[in-house]
Amino acid sequence: MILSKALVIDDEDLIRQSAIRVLKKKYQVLEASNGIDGLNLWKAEKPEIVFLDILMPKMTGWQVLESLEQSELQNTKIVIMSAFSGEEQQRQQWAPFVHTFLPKPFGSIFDLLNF
Amino acid sequence: MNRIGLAQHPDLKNLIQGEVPPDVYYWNYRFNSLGEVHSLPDGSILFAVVLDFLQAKDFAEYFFSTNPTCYLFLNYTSFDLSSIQYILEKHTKVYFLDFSKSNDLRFVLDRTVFLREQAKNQRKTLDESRKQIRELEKLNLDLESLVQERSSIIEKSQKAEEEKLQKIRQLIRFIIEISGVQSLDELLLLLRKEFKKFSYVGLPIFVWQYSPSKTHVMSWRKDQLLERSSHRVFHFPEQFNIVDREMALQLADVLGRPMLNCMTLPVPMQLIHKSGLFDFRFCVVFEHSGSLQEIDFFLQELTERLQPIAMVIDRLLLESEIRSSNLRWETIFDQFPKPLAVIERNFEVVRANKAFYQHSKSGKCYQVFAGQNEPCENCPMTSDEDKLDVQIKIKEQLYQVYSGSIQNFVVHQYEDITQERDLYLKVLQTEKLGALGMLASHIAHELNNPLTGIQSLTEILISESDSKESQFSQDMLEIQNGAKRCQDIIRSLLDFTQTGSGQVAPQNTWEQLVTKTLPMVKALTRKHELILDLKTPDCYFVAEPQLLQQVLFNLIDNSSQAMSTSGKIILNSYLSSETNEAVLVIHDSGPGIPPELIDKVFEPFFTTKKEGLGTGLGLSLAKQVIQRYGGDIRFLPISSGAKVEIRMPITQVSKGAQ
Repeated sequence: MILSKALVIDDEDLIRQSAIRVLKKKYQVLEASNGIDGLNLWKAEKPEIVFLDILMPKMTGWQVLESLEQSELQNTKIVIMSAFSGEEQQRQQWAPFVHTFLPKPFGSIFDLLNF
Repeated sequence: MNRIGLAQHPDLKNLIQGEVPPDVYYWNYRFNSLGEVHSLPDGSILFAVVLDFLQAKDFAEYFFSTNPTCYLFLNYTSFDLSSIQYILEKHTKVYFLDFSKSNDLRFVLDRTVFLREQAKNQRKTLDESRKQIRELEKLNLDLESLVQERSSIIEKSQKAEEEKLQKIRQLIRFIIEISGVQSLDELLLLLRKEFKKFSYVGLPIFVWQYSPSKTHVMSWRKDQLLERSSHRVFHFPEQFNIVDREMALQLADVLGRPMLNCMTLPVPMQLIHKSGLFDFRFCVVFEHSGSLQEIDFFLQELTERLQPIAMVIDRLLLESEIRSSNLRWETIFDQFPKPLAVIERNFEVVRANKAFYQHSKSGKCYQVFAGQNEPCENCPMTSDEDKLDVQIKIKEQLYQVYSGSIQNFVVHQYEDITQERDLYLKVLQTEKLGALGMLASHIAHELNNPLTGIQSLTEILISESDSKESQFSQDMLEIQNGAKRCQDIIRSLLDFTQTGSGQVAPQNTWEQLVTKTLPMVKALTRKHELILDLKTPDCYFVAEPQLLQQVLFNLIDNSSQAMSTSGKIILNSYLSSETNEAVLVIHDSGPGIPPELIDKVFEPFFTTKKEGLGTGLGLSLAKQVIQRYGGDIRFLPISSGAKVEIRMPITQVSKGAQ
């Protein structure tokens, strides 16, 4: 069975590892620990779903989204994982492309399987 | 004096008008023979005539008929010489009738004439001396009348002097009386008494003004003093006026009665004008009905007294002006809200305003102001150098003292800067809190990520474990809870620092809050005994539950840390019906808080923990959180352990609680 690709972009190892452990049952999971790597992987692998952190070194989640083509955005299910403090403007701006805003801390890590 | 003679005889007439003095008579009868008459010293007359007897008889008859005062008429021939001598000596008036022509008689007569001459001379001298005496007497009389005249003049002038003296005495009495006068009322009474005797002059009236906008009138109504004031513009006379119609009209208007002729006397004001009150006018008014002459008499007396009257009025008004100006200054001084004092170098208070008298009414400055028995620490007067600006602390109050020297005195102005200091500290605290808040917020966000990771990973590990009951699962659960608690703490910390971001719940009870907090403190209180005695399940109050949980967490944390060995922590809640408050008391069996620190524990950054172990923010934040919703937190002074009480105002009580 060919699993669809999921990309986890988060600089926090523990979260990435947890996510991978949960998601690997359902997806072929790719990971990136910063925005630039994430963007490159996104463009190269064209994942079906992307779990994107916002506050990251080198490139923020929002900058990653800005760097993508319209088609690339539309063809991907985007889940934003963040503590969301003071980012209302960006949230509204990207809302049409984003599938879900998932607040940190998660109620449960298994919620990631719901998308 | 006897006059003997016969007027019809021409020789006699001759004799009378001749050189012979009028009292000596020469009488020659019939014959132009010798006959001599001599005046004797005693005034009697010696009369000798030579006659024959017949003739003598006629003569005698005639003589007696015309001179009844002649008492002896003798015929010389019948006497010898010695007899004649004798008769002459014994009798004042002897008449000899000689009818012979004897020489003896002649001799006797010569002798008698000699005597007579002598007597005559004596008489002349006597006359002279009498004349002189008379002249002297006249002179004396003249002198006497002169003396009398003079003494009458002296007497008159003495009387005038006396009158003058009397007048001066009265004037002096008046001046003495008037100088003792202390008010315009008294003065008016005195003038009334003084001029009472002038029945045609009415009672005195005073009219004066401080400024043209208001005029005062002081007068009598029967025996009552009456003071009126008027806002009409008064015309004051520039000089003395016997009939001042304008003043009469003005006064009639103010006093509400018709006025007689008004005599006005402007009173010159020296002192009061010197003091700067140039608009000041004063005038004494007398109603009168006398004739010009009578008035003149009155004026004479008044004029004498005008100067002392003016001086007294001047003095009274100046005094009153000084008093009121003094009063104004004193009131301003007293009402000055900041304590002000003039102090001697030996700390004795000379003069101070009301705000200064905080502890006693007199004494040294530190007794009066600070209620101490020794000079305040840092007092500028205890220092050798002149400090103009120091701070002194009296009990809890901090004062800025501005000090200045005037001669031997020191003037101090005190400014309570306790509030400013507190405010400054508060600002400082707020700034610190702000900085801490930013730091906390940053740390919170940084911690959030790994904590989310830990939580997620433990969740996965738990889910993957074979048995939920295994030690591994339990430990994992503990880790998960810990991470969760960390996140709660972070959220609370964010709530603390981001005021108002916490969620307000209208219905909190101590039961709910304690129940929610307990899991977090479980680890802390493991070695202690936690006793719950909560009796307010139905007393609701408004608060941010997260924050209150944090407070409870901190308090229980404090208690458990204070007890090094196993101890007790009792949580007791009750309803205070009087104040309508839900009260939670946390009582531990630890060492308690030293009484001197009880007030300080709520100060920011106060901590008894070693450096690095506590920030000292716990209790001050707790207080802030509780006071935000009208509650209060305080430590109760007790002998054993620490007892902290939190009172929250109840907003709603369900039926069950009542």
